[in-house]
Amino acid sequence: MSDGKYFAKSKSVELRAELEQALKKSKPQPRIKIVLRKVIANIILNNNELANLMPEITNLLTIDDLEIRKLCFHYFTNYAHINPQGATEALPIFARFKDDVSPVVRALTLRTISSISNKDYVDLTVHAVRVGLKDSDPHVRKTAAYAVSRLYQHDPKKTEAQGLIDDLNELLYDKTQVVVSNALASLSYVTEHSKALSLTIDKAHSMALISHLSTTNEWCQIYILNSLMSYVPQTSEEALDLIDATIPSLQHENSSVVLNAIKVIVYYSHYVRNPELVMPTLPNRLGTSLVSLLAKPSEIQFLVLRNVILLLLGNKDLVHFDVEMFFCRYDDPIYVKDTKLEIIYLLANEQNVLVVLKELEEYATEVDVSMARKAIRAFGNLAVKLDNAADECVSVICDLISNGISYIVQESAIVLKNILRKYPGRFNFAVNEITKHYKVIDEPDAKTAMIWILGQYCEKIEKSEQILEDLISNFKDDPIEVQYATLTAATKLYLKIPEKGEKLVLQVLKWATEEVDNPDIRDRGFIYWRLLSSEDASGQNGVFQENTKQIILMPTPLISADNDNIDPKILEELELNIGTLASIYLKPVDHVFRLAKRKQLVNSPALQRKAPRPITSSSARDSTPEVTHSPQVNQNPTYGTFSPSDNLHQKHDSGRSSRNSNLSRKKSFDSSASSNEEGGSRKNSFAKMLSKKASQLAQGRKGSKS
Amino acid sequence: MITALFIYDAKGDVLMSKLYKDGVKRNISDVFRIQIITTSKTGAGGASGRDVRSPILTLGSTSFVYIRSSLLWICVVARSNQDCSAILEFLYNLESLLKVVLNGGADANASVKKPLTDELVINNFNLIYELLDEVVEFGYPTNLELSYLKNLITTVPTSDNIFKISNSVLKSAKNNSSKGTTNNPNNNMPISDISWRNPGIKYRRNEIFLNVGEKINVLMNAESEVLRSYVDGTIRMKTHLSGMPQCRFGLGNNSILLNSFAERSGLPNSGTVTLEDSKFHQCVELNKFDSERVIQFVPPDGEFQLMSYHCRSNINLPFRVYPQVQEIGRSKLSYKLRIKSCFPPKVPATNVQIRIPTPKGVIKSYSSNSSGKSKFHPEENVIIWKFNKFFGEQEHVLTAEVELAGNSNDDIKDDDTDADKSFTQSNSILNWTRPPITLEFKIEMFACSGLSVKFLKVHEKSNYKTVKWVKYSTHSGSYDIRY
Repeated sequence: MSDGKYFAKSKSVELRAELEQALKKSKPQPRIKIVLRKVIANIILNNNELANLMPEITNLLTIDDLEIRKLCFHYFTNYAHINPQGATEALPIFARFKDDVSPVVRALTLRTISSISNKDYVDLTVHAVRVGLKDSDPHVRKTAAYAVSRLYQHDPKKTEAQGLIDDLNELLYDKTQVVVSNALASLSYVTEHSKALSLTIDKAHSMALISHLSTTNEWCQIYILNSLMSYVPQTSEEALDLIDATIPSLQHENSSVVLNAIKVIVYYSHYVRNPELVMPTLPNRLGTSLVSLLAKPSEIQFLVLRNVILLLLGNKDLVHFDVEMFFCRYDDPIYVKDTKLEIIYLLANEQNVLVVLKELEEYATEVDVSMARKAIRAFGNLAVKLDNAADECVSVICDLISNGISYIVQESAIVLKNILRKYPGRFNFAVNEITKHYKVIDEPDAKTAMIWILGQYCEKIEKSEQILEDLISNFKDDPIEVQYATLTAATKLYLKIPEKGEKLVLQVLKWATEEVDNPDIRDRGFIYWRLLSSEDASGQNGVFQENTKQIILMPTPLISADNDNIDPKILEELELNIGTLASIYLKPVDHVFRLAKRKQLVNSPALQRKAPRPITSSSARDSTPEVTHSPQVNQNPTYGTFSPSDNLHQKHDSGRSSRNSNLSRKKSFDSSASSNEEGGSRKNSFAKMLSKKASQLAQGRKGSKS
Repeated sequence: MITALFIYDAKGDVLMSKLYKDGVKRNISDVFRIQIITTSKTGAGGASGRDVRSPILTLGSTSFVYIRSSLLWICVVARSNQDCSAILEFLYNLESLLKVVLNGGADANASVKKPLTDELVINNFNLIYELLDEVVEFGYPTNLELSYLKNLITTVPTSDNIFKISNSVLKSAKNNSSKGTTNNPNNNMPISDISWRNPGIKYRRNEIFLNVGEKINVLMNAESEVLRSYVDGTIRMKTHLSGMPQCRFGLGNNSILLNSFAERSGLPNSGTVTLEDSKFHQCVELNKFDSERVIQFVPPDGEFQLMSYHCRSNINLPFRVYPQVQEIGRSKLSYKLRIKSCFPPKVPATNVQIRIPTPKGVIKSYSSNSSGKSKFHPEENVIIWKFNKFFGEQEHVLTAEVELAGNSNDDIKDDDTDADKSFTQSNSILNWTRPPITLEFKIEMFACSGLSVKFLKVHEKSNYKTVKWVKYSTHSGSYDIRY
């Protein structure tokens, strides 16, 4: 009885011969079925050559046997577009089938003809669907509902012109709930792909739909929940009613029902002022329903966890979680661990920080390198985020560094740089600890960080010039960000300890201006060179390089950890996409999926637009120009504003980098050691300042060269 | 939503393909094979492959969402931004549906546990193709219930226990329609609002089986302090009931189904069982539950999971473990383990197994214990301590010692240079990951959450009597002890 032996590619000639043989028998059906099974195998194996078999298959349609017909229908669905002429032959037969007495055949026929994109079939389907939508049998109506969106896929204009969309709309008032919800699913395809059409439902209808929720199957519930997103509540009370009515769905076994219910609740809560105060149980219910999904397979866990991050980035008061529930399990897959770590960081606060630190230390000492690195990064980020945790974090980091394991030292160097910037002067002992192990550092990020530390603290580090010299010995082969850092650090060293730094700075500037091909590095080199050699460098009362020091050694602006906020607009769209693929990437939807239709909160008297909270707006990544000016975060206060193009770049970057909740390395650097893109604008400011003295400077350079 | 679906074998050959929408060609299957299967560790890439970084791959506007089922890959291709949660749920639902159907589901529970194999898929390719045609319409999952599908499927599976009856029904339907008789009752599509149950089911003996299964997950530190503990419980049912029975179900008075109470912190006074975020089967009327706290439902026929729940407070930990692991010098480890059972003395835990990890490269081992059997398994680097039966309120002790190879004198000499350090560390206790000690067990007629079922009422028009069976069991999920 096994079908396995038919699972192979065949040629149409062979099958044709077999069919002929079969038809000679008095009872051909069993043999025909065998041939047709082979056909199905070829559909699965993607063998297009069988399109030649069209006439023979058309003949078989006349045999009165449901199984044979079904198999033939599969054939037409898959090959009609390859052999359109042959397929036209079968039109009359299909036209007869669509009025068959058996609802099974009617439904199958509708499904088949609507799947074929040939013009003749589209015409036939238009008529068949119109009748099918009003069929007495709910199964046929359901199939007809989907046939409309299939038609829309082939020929949107015709489908609309023939009024089929309106007919489909009528099904929303069907007496059978299964039909209603499948019509909603079909409509959702149409509205997703049409610019003009969108689903609107009124309050009464949405309440009616919700009442269906308890009695339909899980998939229907998903479609109904999704349709609820199309109702715009006009008052807060309405929104509250709808939230209330959706809450029971949080208990469903199917994770998709739960996530979609959460999506609906989050959506409606935008129309209520302080929903967490009006419904004090809501945060707990949302939180626990999500946490309980962590018992599902890891793929689903991953999706749920990504959405937890999304909710935490949004209105934190709306959901409540216990951080312990997100501690990693020994056998979690790496993607689950990563995401949990991110959540642990987001959930850490003054109250639970001790528990969190203990757990992170556990991870940091694991042999799983990437996990250990991420744990260290989390330590660094926590130290910056929570003042009272900083001491503890730094002492753990120092402990870890003292083992001298290469990847730990490198990662620690990176996070230490952020900590030093946040708490200048508080953790000088950590500088000494890391300098002991500078030899193992070779990765660009870590090297950049180490070089910055050396430049910034050179007067406090013993033999800093030797260490720096060691680190930069292959300057010419270093990546560009290391070269930038090197230039700045060498200059700082010279300014702070001229007698030790002179040789080094000359060497570096010579490399940068003469041997490096990158014009940005060369420019940066020239600028430092000119600054140092300018006749105004020493100021009026002759203090050594006083003016230059003012430019280069100015105190670094403070960094803050509040950049785990997403641009509110992007967040808003993501919240309307909870549970979708975009929620995994946590990027602006149109960056990942170009073709996706934009979703946004529709205005209504009840809509609560959140005024940007002060914390949000202080984020360096916020794309509004006013914010970039705010003194707290401005990366280069001396040199004024970013150019418009820089803003654009930031906007682009904001979704991705901010959600990582890492302190972006580029931006947390001080004003003089910055990334490539920003170099451009800064260069301009330098140029403006210096343009007056261009000629003198040129001379100065010659002088210092000779 | 779903544009296409593929099933691959371990090598990446396509066993099943189904396109639901325009927008991709069939050869999109090659992209997935190349991007995922051949680079994965368990796939054709062999040991050189990498870990799964993400269960979802997006290239351009096309996303691949996939799961593994033993050696097979089941992959959905989707275009643009689609509901990922629905796709993942669909994949897992499909997997269990295939398991039940292909493994000949006389006993649905047992067949779910049998793995899917490429052989099974190939031997039933026709059936699967037909199923895929019915469970999804135009990319939208519609209904994966067996009772619904039974009426639509014409292919007979190789090992058939499920479709037998329905096929005879179908045959009669076919005969009728060919004779021109209109709409005989069998012929009508069984679409009712209760899509999970067919009307007209009849049993001579009406029975209902209730099975409370709990999985306890614990993480303890060396002092036997609980860092985290929770219970994932499920209540499964097997129903053999006639007609359209309405069931009502209730838990003991001390149980609280939490989800609308104001403050969680106010609740857990001792003695109450607090079930958090219970999830119900689609048949349960959720709004009824929310307003009246009654679990009311029309059950599907056969086996299903009525509800799942989560419990975090007042858990009766069945076992406590007190480990002492000490390093003696650089190459010796000594273990002292005390395990104490904390459940009623007459209840036995069965299949108790304690896995005590050791570092790699053990050359000598020694262990002694007060009861049970212990053995060192060098291939897995664990000492396994087993009990066939472990009664409640008992205490047992194990002492063990292991000696490691590769820590001879020259290691100590080279210790200062960095390069050699990493090498020696790979063998030594220093670099040992110290995976947690894990515990496995099973306890019948014991629910560690303390949950108990108080009543189960079946109401049907014909007012028949129902025989009810209730069973409890607890088994270990991840029961980890750090040291």
